[in-house]
Amino acid sequence: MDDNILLEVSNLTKSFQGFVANENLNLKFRKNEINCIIGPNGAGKTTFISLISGHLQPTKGDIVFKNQSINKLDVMKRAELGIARKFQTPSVFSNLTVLENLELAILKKKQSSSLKETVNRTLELIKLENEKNTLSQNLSHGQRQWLEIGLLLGIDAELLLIDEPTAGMTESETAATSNLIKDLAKNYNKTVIIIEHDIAFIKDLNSNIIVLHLGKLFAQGNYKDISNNSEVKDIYLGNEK
Amino acid sequence: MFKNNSYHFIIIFGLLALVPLFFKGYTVFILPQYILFGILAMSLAFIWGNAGILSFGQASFFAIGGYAFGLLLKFYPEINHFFLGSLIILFLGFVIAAITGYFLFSAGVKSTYFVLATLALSILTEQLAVTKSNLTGGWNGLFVDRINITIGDFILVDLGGDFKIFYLILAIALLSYLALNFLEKNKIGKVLKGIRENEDRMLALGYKTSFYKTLAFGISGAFAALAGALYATHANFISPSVAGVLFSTEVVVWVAIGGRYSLLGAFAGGIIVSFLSNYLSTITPEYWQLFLGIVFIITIIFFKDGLAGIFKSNLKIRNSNG
Repeated sequence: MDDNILLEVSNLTKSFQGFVANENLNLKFRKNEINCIIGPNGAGKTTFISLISGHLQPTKGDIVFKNQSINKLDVMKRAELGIARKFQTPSVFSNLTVLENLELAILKKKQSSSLKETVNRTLELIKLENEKNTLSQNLSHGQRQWLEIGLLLGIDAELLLIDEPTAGMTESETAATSNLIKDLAKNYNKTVIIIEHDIAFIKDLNSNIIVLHLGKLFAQGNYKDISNNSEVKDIYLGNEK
Repeated sequence: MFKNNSYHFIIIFGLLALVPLFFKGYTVFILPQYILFGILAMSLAFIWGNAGILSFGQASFFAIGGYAFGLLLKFYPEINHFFLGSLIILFLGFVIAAITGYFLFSAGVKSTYFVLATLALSILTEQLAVTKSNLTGGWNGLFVDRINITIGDFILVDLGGDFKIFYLILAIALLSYLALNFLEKNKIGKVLKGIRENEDRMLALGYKTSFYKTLAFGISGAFAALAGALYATHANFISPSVAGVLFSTEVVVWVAIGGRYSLLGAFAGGIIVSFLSNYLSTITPEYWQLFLGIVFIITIIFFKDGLAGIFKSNLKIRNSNG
C-alpha cells in the first residue's frame, strides 16, 4: 500500500437481510486530506462510516488502516488505533462540563500532568474557551458538535469520521466549522471523512468528493468535477437546489 | 457542598469522634457497627454513583469478608490478623467481586439484569453460609473473636473494650473514605463517570469500559469485605442474614437516602438509617419497616440525590443569595 494512503477499502459490501447498503466499494483515502461523502438519503453514507468505525461489520471486503486489516477489530480497538467518529446526533457527556468532557478524551492518551495544556489548546481550537465550565447539555447544538470534534482531537486520532457536522448550525457556525476542519487537515495532520448535505460548506472545504448512490460509488472528484457531472446533478445536486 | 468541600467530611468525622466523650454504654458499642455499615454504603456509592452500576451484591461481599475473617481467626490463629488478615480480606473481596464483574461486564450484562445477577449472588452466599454449616455454623452463625493490634506476640493495642475499637473503626472509615475519594477524583473516577453518562461514547474514544467497570466493582467488593470482617470481629458474630436479600436491599436504601453521588452522603445514610431502623424497631416493632419504606419512597420520588442532594441544593441557594 502506498505510504501516503491512510485508509483503503476493497470490495466493501454490507447487506442487511438482503438489502445491500454498500456494494463493492473500492476507495483510498490519503493522509491529511479532507473527503466529503455525499448522496441522496439511503445512499449508504452512514453505513460506510459505521463500517470504518467498527459499529458495523462488513458482509464482504476488506478495510486496511495504516497497512493493517482492521475488519476483525471492534470499535474500541479501532479508536485506539486512531479512528474516531463524530455521530450525526452529537454524542457527548451531557451532565459533565466542557472541561470534563475534554479531560475524559485526553486522559485516554495522556497523563494527568500534561492534561491542562492539551485541554486549553483543544478548547482554543474548538472555540469553547469561554464555555469550559458550562455543562455540555447547556451548549448550543453547534457548540455540542464542536465539543464532539474536540473529543476526537483529545484522543489524538488520525482519521476523523464526521457525520453531518453542520446540521443545525447557523451560517457563521458553519463557516467556523469549515475553517476548523481545514485547519485540522492542514496543521494537525488529520485525515477527515465527512458526510454532509450542505453543498456550500462542501464547496468551501475544497475537498475530494465521493458520491454514493444506492450503496455504490457513483462519482468521485473535486467540487468542479462533481458539480459539472450531469448524472450527479440528476440524482442529487439538482434535487438539493 | 457535600461532595466536594472538605469541611463536610471534617464535620462528620469530627462529630463521630466526639461521641465516646459524651455518651457511654450501648451507644459507644453499637455506633462502630453503623460506621461499618457506612463503609459498606460508600462501597456501593462508589460504583452506583460514579459508574451508574446498581449492585445488590454488596451484602454478599460484606458476608464473605465476615466469614473469611472468622475462619482465618479459627484456622490460622498464628497470623497477624489486624495487618495481614485485613490485607487478605481486602484481596479476597477484590478478587471475588472482580471475577464476578469480569464475567458479567464482559458478557454485556447491565441495568436490571445486573441487579438480578448480583441479587442472585447474595442469595447464593446466604445459601452457602447456611449449607456449609460445618464451617459457618449454619443458621446459628459463626462466633468470631475480637482481634487486637499486635506485632509478633506483643499486643500494641488491646481492642477488648468498646472505646479503642470505636476509634480504630472510625479511623478505618476515614481511610476508606479518603481512598475512595482519591480514586473518584482521579482517572478511574473520571472514566467511571464517562461510562455512567455515555458508555458508547467511551467505547468510541477507545476506553475498554468492561475493564474499568470490573476494576471498580473489585474495589467496591474489597471495601465491602473489609467492613464485613471488622463487623464480625466487633460483633463477635456473623450470620447468614447479613448476606441475604433483606440486608442487600437495606444497603441500597441507605445509599439512596444518603445520596448515591456522594461518598459522604452514602456514609451518613448508612449510619443514620441503621440508627433509625434500630430506634424505630424498639418503639414500634411491628411497623418500623413500614416507616423506613415510606422514607425510602419519599426520597426516591422527591429527593433523587438523597440527603447529599438536599445539602447541595441548599448550599447553592445560600450561595446565590449571599
